[in-house]
Amino acid sequence: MPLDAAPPLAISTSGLTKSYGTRTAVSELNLAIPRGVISGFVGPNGAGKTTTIRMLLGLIAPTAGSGEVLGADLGQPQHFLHRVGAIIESPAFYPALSGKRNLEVLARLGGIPHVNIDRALRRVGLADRASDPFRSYSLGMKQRLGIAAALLPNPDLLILHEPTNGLDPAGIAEMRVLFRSLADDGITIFVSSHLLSEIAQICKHLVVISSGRMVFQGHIGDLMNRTQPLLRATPELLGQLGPLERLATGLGMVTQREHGSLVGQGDSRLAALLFRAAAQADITLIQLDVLRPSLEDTFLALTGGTAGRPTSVAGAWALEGTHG
Amino acid sequence: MANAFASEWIKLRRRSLFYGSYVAILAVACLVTVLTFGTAGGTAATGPGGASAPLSQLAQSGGSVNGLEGSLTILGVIAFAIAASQMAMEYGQGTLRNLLVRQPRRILFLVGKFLAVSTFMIGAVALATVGSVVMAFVMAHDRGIPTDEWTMLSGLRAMGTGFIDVALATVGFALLGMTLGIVMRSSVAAVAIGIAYLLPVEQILASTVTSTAGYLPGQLLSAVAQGGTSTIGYAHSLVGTLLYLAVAAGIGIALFVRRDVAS
Repeated sequence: MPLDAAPPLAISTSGLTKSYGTRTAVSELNLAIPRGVISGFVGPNGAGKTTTIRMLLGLIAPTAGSGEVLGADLGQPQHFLHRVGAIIESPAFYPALSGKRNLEVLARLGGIPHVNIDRALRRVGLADRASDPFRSYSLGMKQRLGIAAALLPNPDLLILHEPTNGLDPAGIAEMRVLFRSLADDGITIFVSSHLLSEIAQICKHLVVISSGRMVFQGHIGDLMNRTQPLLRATPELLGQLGPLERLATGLGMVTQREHGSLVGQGDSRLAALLFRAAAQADITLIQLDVLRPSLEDTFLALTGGTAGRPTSVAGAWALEGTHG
Repeated sequence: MANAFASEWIKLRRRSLFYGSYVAILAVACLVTVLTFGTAGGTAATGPGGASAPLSQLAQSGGSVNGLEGSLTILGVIAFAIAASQMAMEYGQGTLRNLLVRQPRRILFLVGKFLAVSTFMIGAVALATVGSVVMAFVMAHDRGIPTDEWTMLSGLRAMGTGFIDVALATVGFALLGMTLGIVMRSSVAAVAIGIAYLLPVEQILASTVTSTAGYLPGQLLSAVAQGGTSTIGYAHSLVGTLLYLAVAAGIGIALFVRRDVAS
């Protein structure tokens, strides 16, 4: 379903706020998470992601605001939590009990059929180690058990906080496949992660918060389109850089020189114009790239972060197409 | 509530806790019974280790559960520690958040958990009663104490009453433990503070300021277990205990229901 067709919402909040004394952890959050999509929830450490997730799960009472989860009032979690699976921070289970017994504790409590336990364990690949005590599990296995616990009630909505923490690359890839298959089954997944590359691969929808406030919500493509792509042109001879710069300026580009190349904002259409103008001026281009900003770069620009920002203008931008 | 009860029992059934607690409680009850009968003399006496019963008293209908009633303080401390740690560990291990996602009706969750811990303790008291009564017969035979009255209807009734009183008091200790577990949210802190209060602090208060004994929760619970003492009547101890437990339950429920789960 296209995101702009006002689909029914799995999660919606209005002015959701949580304050601790004078400190506001989450401020007037208006979430609108469509049903049936994988929605990423990202923000720097301390942005308010965990507090938001806890409010959505009825663990923390909001200071102000309201909301609905799966059409039920946020203030009445008993009306929707039986359809929700969740991982909240690190997987927390009883060390002395086996993985299966741990799931039994939760299944009994939630009135969930016993058959769901084995199914959930199989789905996350833990069936062989189900009888081992939780304390003997590796971090990745603990995380899988957390995902199995979230799948216990056959949920319509999964709220996952850092679900791939501790998993190796193969495990992460497995989880990616699992999440996609769950989404294909119509389950809405609201997932927070620090792994922006993972979010970019599995999410269509994204919510970005910073300092407790929402800075973006919508289709991930819309976010990426907010930042203009970069054009990088490299002439064969260094002496042609000046004439090339004049041509680019003539086309309306604002450029700067960087390691024998010209770099400036521009899309594929402008790249074609520059390529043609350079050819007519007898300038041979050995490289002409249109670079899209990565999600990480866009995220950092949105949230005001600087960590890992490249020193070169085009350094971290993903290659969209090469001409010339 | 039934789901919360059944779920809690999965945790209580784990071997180390189940067998460890039951064996410890059985051993304590048997040991106290042996000491009660072993130190009994011709008349009542008070020594550094506490009061010893006269042989004539042990021969009465309630003599078979005298040892059980005497072990209440230790049974109570064990019940308190188990309940406090079962509650506080949910906070400490972070498991409470998972549990409350599956059962968001917090009062039902808490009551189910309390009932599970209570039945666990009642089972332990039942085992302790059986062990203590068997040991009482053995010791009575050894000390030449007549047991005719024990097996009469009044004796059997005294056994039943003794079991109920000790079970009530033990459940009371468990309720206090759970409340402190909720307040402290740390097993170590809750158990340490609880035991420090129930054993040295309250014992010293009760023995140095005699008028306070009838108002201290641990003393009241001990009096309930013994069916009343020479200084605290049964009715007084029962009413006082119920008041304390009502206040503890109120504090525990209010905190548990209203407090954010941020751990």
